[in-house]
Amino acid sequence: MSIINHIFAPIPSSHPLFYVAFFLTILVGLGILALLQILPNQARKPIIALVTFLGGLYYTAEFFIPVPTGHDGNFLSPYMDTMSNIASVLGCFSVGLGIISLIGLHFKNTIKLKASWGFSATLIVCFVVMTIFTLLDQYSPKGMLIPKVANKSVYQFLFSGGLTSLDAAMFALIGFFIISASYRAFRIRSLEASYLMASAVIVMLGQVTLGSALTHNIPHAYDFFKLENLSEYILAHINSPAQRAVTFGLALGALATSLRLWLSLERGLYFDQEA
Amino acid sequence: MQHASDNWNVANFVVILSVIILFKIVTAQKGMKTPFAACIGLFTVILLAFTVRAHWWGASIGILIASAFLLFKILTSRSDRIPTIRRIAGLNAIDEAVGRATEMGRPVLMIPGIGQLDIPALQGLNIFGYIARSVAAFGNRTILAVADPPLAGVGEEVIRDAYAAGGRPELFNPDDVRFISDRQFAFASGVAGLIEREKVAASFLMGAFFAESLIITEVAQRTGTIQIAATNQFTQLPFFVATCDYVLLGDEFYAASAYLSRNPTLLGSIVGQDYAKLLILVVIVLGVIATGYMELVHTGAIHDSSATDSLTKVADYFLKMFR
Amino acid sequence: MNSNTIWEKLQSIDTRILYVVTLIVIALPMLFPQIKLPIVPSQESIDCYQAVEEMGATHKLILINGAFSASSRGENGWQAQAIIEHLMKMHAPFAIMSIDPQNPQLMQDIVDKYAKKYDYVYGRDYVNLGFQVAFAQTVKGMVQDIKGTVKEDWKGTPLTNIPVLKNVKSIKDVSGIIDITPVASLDTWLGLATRVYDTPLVYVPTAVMAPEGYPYKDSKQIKGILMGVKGAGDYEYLMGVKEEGTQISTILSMVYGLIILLIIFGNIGYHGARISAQNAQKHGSE
Repeated sequence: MSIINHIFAPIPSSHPLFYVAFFLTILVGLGILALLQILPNQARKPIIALVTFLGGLYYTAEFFIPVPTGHDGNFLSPYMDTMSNIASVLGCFSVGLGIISLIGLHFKNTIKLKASWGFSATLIVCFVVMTIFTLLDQYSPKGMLIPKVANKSVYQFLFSGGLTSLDAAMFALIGFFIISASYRAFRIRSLEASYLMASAVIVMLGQVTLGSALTHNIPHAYDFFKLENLSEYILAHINSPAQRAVTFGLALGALATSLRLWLSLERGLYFDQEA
Repeated sequence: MQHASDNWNVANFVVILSVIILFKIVTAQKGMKTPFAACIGLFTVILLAFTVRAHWWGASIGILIASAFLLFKILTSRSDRIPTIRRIAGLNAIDEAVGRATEMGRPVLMIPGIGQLDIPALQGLNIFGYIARSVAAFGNRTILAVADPPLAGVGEEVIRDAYAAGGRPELFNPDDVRFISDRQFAFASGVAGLIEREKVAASFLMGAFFAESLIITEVAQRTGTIQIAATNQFTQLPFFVATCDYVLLGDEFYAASAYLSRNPTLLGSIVGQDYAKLLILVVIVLGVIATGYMELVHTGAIHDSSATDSLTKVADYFLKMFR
Repeated sequence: MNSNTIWEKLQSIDTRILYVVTLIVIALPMLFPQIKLPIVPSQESIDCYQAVEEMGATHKLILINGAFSASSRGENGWQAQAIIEHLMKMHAPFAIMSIDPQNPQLMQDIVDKYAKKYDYVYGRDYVNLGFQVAFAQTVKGMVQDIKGTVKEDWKGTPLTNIPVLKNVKSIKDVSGIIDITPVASLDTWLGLATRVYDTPLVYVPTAVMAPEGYPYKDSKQIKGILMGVKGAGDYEYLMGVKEEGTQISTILSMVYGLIILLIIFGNIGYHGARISAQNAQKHGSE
């Protein structure tokens, strides 16, 4: 294992060096933060630009440097796991920040009895209850009795019975909303709108058994005019090229934005001032 | 493809597109020419080292010609010509939406999508920074609802700086930048509740959206909110078109920051993208011609001869390049 | 403008009435199963079925990616059910991986439904690899080494101890990938996995995501697309069974018919009001 992988390899909590590494990491992190705070703005920008560039350079270089024959990757590929671990750790810290901000806001609303404080209180109660029963479910010692509901642990009951059911209910709302949105929005006000309506009706009917049933008896010689075939033609030969065109544009836009971010060419929000 | 070596032609094509975009960015601004020219020189030397070592003389000559051409164009270009972008209705309506919200005394809601801290979300935040500056200038309130915790941190910075730039730093409320949830439908229901309770007057949805988009936009429709949306998700565009007042289609989303700011760097980037699209179009047209030609050869409609033999080799090589 | 005319009323039916009517239309085929429409499978469904048949015929491991949660179970769940029953009928070994935390249990429930009927034993005939946190990184790793990347199944058993994975090292040893998804996971599979060893990929999305697959089907990068609930119904028809997918296809048809009817009403109201206003103006000016 190379030195870099060795330095950044995860250390199990049972290892004697774990706490040393833990506190050292926090100290180094705080030190870097303090240094960045002390530095003036003009000195901070090049450092941030350099770190951004190096971060992006790794992935670009790993992609472009040729892979020797018979190997799975080039000399940068073994560090991919390390980079992923770093990204995961950063993600975990940010989840913690998100939770703190969420709970803080709703706690304030509840304590100050602001408008709709009931919803905030509900969120806090649900959060606490779910946390307690998740921890009990995952970390309770073997043999310890954990509360059960309908032969499932409370965590399972809340997760499968509560969260998954609510998820499904919210998704089901889309069905109702699309009906009201279609009814309200689809008016034939122009020739283009009439093309849109006609193709929408053909594709909708062609996607379901109703369409197949309506045109089932069309003679074989005129198979093309069966709704399912017309629908497939519209999706494959009219929709797909348009979709590809939009995708090309979006991909190029993403490429340009990525390049600007990587090379720190992206200006801040008040562009004209900095320009 | 995991590495460029899986298909050098595709990888090199992306490099060419990137160089075109960067070239247009660089030539739009005075200060970037020298460093960019130096980078071109450095990369030319590195690439030549590879190609000469591998005895790829054709590639070496191609690299030399391309570098010389680029360097010439960089050093002789004028950066006082600012490109123009056609009118985009959705972006022109931003001021109208913000003004309407201010008149009604109701806040403005911004949602940078449900994705993580990635390109569409950052692009959304870029645009929101501009909009928040207008909102601040009008003395109104901005609510930013995010589905990814890191976005909350970045978003708070953006909105705070926008209010400072708009001359109203005291109006910024950190509690108005809210992490709702990273679960798709928990986020949708949270935002729907937010719209109903806060009686949002204008809503900007710019970023990566999925199935939850219809829930958010339909609820906003009911409360009479004016909505402007943009997304990189092709499949969500119909839902936005049905429920929102203005929709930015395709790469109008990525052009928005250039359109709003008229910054030369960003405008140059848009021009670069257009040239890159032109190149892709040329490749597609050539590909169609080559495919049609090969079909005619295989079906025997075109007979073998010395002239057609060369054409067949060229067409076949061209088609194999991008497989 | 008089808002009490029939034309205005047709244009502005209360949404609550629309929702109640929708509920009734959805409930009727469930309460009266005799209401059914004939199924005619689409070409995409037929291609998908044939691709899975070809994968199963090799008797090599098939990798199923489950990306759906309870929210999209209404579409992806029936598709997964149809495909898993098909694989079990062919006695093809498969491995389930999930990129949503809810998915491993949902997929396991589907497998458990048919396991006894087709004598499928966990470990011998199939394995549940569980939820994979970093999707792209996992796929990249699996291309070279599945057991080294995933390491354990969803219950913590080391993959080296699972018989069905005995001869499976990487994606090369997999006969095909079935991506059952409501999200944009197709690009990751195509970009990172299928090109390396030309592994066949079948795309099984929700109906909304299906158009994304057409360009790739056209360029033969995917072998088939099974679209939404209708695809599930088609698949069951091709298998010769009648499960929930078939029933829900009928419900879907009726709801689509309702939407089209409502759009027609809205347009009749709109154009009627417009013509009525024009006539009133003409008579007013005469």
